[in-house]
Amino acid sequence: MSDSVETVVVGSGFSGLLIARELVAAGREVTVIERGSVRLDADAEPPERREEHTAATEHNTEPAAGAQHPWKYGYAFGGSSLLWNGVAPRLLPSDFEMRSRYGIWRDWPIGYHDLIPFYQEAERALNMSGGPHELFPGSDAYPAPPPSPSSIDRMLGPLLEPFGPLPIARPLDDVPYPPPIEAEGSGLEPAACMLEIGRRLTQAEGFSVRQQTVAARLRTAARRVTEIECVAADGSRSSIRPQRVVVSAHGIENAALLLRSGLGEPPVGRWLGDHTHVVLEIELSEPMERWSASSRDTGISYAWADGEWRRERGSAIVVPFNPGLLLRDALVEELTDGARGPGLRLEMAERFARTAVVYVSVEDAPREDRYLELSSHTDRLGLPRTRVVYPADSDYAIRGLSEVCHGLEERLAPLGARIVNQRLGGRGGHMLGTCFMGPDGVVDENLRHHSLRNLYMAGGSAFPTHSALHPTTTIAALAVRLGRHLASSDA
Amino acid sequence: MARRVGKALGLSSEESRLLMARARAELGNRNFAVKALAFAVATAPVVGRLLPRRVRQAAIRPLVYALIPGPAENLLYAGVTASSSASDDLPRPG
Repeated sequence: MSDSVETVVVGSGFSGLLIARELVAAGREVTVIERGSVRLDADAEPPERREEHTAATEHNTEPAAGAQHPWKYGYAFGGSSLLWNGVAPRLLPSDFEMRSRYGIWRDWPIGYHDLIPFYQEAERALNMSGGPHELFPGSDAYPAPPPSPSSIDRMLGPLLEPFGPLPIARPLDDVPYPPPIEAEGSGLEPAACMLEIGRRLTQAEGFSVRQQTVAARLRTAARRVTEIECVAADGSRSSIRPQRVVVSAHGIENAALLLRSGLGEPPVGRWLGDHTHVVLEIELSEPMERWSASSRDTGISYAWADGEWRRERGSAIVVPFNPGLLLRDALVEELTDGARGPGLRLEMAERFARTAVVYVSVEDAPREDRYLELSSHTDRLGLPRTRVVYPADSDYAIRGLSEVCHGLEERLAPLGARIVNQRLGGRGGHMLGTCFMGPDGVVDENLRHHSLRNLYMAGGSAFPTHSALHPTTTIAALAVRLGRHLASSDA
Repeated sequence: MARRVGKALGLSSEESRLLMARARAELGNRNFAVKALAFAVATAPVVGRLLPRRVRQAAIRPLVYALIPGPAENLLYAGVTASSSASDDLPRPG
């Protein structure tokens, strides 16, 4: 079976659905190919249960020995947005200009100011909450007001300037965070805004989705993609003849499709990036008097985000972690050593009140030795697995983190602060850079492939550099920009 | 058994009921009972002391993790509510 379609979007995460949204709004036809299932009730379920297990949703990456990394992504309608925790800052203007400002790496072919209207539209689409901040020109148009500062923001913020509200999705200030444990569901589900976009798209004219289907390979002729070979979860094969293709899965999947298609000449699949998040437990000399928070994260410090020193060490942002110190490990230790009863609990409570928890996201240098290649092993659908080589963080990132640790104790000295524990936090959710934009990259400033005139590579794979900031809003802004570009041009 | 677990952790009967009901629902009755029994033995005044530290710890951890799986339960155990200070509502050591 071979169908002809105007625009095919591969992947239904932030990028894919926002591109489809722009095209459908302009009266264009879009077919989305999604490995997972369309489950519009999925916001009622915890993230780990949203992905249905089929041959199409098999996570077919395999780590290289000694270069492992815990990659996190999901296959379902909504893509990895269903795993999103809603943290949504923009990148800094300097993040787009690392070469011209600091003489390292690459500049993006588009700048922060080019993206402002698209940032604003993405923030509207995702119903984000935020407030104007001098570091981010044009950040005065968020659809929802900024989150209220938590008690820990109020305590640490004045010592960690520049500090401000962290843009996040759908905070509901009237819902305490975490919710009372009797309550079912908190209303604090950031993925819900993407599911709502998906829900509306499924009802829109011109939109269709092929669920439980893998885009296996692209066939090309005369500098165009002429056919997409698809494999369904049940193993059946079909093809689509697209006028335009937007590959809009995550950074590993995007490059893997090109590699499987014989379109993997360097730099495709090279320069894979992610962010290391480190959790710091900071003991204070006095307990916090009050605890309040409207969501998990509400504030952000840019004290170590930008400066000439980025020639030498990585940028970092610091986010107070409102849930605070998780007591169970300490509790197990104390119980094992014989502590019991009200005295034990009081000690745990005091430890909680005297510990501020923050997480630090650190920028690493884009590195060519972090890359993807096809494995000799195949998955359940018979497609080559993707081997991921991701060596540990470089000295550039480690120097950035070290500076934050020293600086935090120094700045928080009035609170008697001492870092008592440091551990790795979340990693693996930001798959960046494998099809980066630029003259020496894979795509141009409009995300169009340099060789194939009807192929576009969207999502985090287009990032030439990685910043320390969360990439979601920039991915969304690039998607809105590409969607409008495609809507206004001939297929 | 539930009373014993609650007492070891310094929980009020209401808090104990709440946390255990949730853990039992998550684990299932049998699994929960096994973890609670292991915890009770490992924290028993005499028997517990006869066990090597490593064994005691391994017996205690699963129930503690089941009772405090995330931030909401953690805040409850820390005695924190959005409008109270960290230890206002806690029982004081006798």
